Amino acid sequence: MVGRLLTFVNTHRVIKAERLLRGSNLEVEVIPTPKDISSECGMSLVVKEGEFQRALDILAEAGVEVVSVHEWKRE
Amino acid sequence: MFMSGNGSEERIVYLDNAATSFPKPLCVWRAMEHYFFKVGGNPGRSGHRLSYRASEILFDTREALARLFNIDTPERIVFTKNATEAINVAILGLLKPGERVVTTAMEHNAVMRPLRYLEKTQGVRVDVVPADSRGMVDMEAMARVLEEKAALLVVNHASNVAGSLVDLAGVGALAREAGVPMLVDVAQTAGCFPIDVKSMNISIMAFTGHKSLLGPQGTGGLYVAPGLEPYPLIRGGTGSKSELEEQPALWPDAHESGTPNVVGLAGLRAGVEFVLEEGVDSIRAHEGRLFERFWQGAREIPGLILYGPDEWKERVAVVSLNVGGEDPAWVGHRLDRDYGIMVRVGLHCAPSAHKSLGTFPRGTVRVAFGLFNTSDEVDMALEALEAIARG
Repeated sequence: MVGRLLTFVNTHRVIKAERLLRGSNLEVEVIPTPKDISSECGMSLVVKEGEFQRALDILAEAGVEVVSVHEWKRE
Repeated sequence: MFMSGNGSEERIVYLDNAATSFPKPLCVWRAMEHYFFKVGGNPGRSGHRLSYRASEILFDTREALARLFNIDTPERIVFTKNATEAINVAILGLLKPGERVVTTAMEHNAVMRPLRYLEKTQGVRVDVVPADSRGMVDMEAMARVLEEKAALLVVNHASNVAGSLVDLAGVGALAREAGVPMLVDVAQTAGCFPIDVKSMNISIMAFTGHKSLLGPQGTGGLYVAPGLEPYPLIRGGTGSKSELEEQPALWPDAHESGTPNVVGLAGLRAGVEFVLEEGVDSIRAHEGRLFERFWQGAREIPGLILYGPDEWKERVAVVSLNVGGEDPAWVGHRLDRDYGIMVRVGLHCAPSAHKSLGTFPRGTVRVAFGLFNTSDEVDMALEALEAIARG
């Protein structure tokens, strides 16, 4: 899925974030974090470009810290 | 309960639930089976779906425990193989050389041994608050002892020998007033007595998964409130911050190095969810009915000596007793051999508690009821004890 890739500090936070976003009917893809981005955690979340800001708002409101945000262009 | 053993059905009355609960709910076995056949991955390590599903099992287990204990920060629940390991992480990870720790005479060796070790090797001062012959901790002495500065208070919520409860809300208030973090050993209460870390002011809590939480053996954990940072006992791979050769400070990663017992934790999650569904209050009410029936019957048996408080509100369904001057080991053997009744005998890894009750070094026969015991089983135990007491 093309959009933005969000990284988190550990898998616990990835799962927490994924459930929050899916619970708000956002489309989410869980992918292994690409090596050139980070080794922070094994997994990252990809959200659609158009839903990216909403995703950040949902996570901020729930206090789930996003470590970094990257453009993601791979299908 | 009937079990097949050696090809024939045998009647088993399992009254050793303070050692480990048995049987477990069917959903616990099913959840473990599901992990084995449908999940199987290593959590937090690889990037594929089976690894992720294994991570979700850990996540969901933490969430279920957080609901049960009213914890706001599930990531600060870390899994260990049992309550003993959790207590060791807290005690060894928090106390510094020369500091003072307060504890009670009703502690298990899971607490006493790490404390005595630090006393001997690190000059940690250990002050033990006494308990009476019913196993009730002296709350006035507790208040006095907490007037002097201490780094940690360690309290056993319910005695594994006498069944006596500590008023956690009361002790928690004293600890808060004194500014001392309170570590609570809830091995005998988690799942069968309501526990709220917030209203009870619990800073640190060590639990086991295989007693009243109804999970399998090899599961347990530690909750540590934000602001307290014990150093990890075990360091190693966590699947996070892999570029660093230093242990990450993140929770739960900091205290969960190496591949965890996911199959066990899948079972624990199912056990905790079973408890949540049944309701801790209704589990406690059931165990209270069993205790009252047993206690009233046992008091009528000549020669039987009962220990621990009479009042249900002061205890859990763990009962210590002796049959006249008989060796507890022999009473336990007769209950097993002649009646198919399983109990535990001896000192129960808690010599200090037995000294309070006046049962050291002989020990006691311990009868511990659980969620799956019935009033018929209580009656069978009473009949057997009466026959043994008659000689």
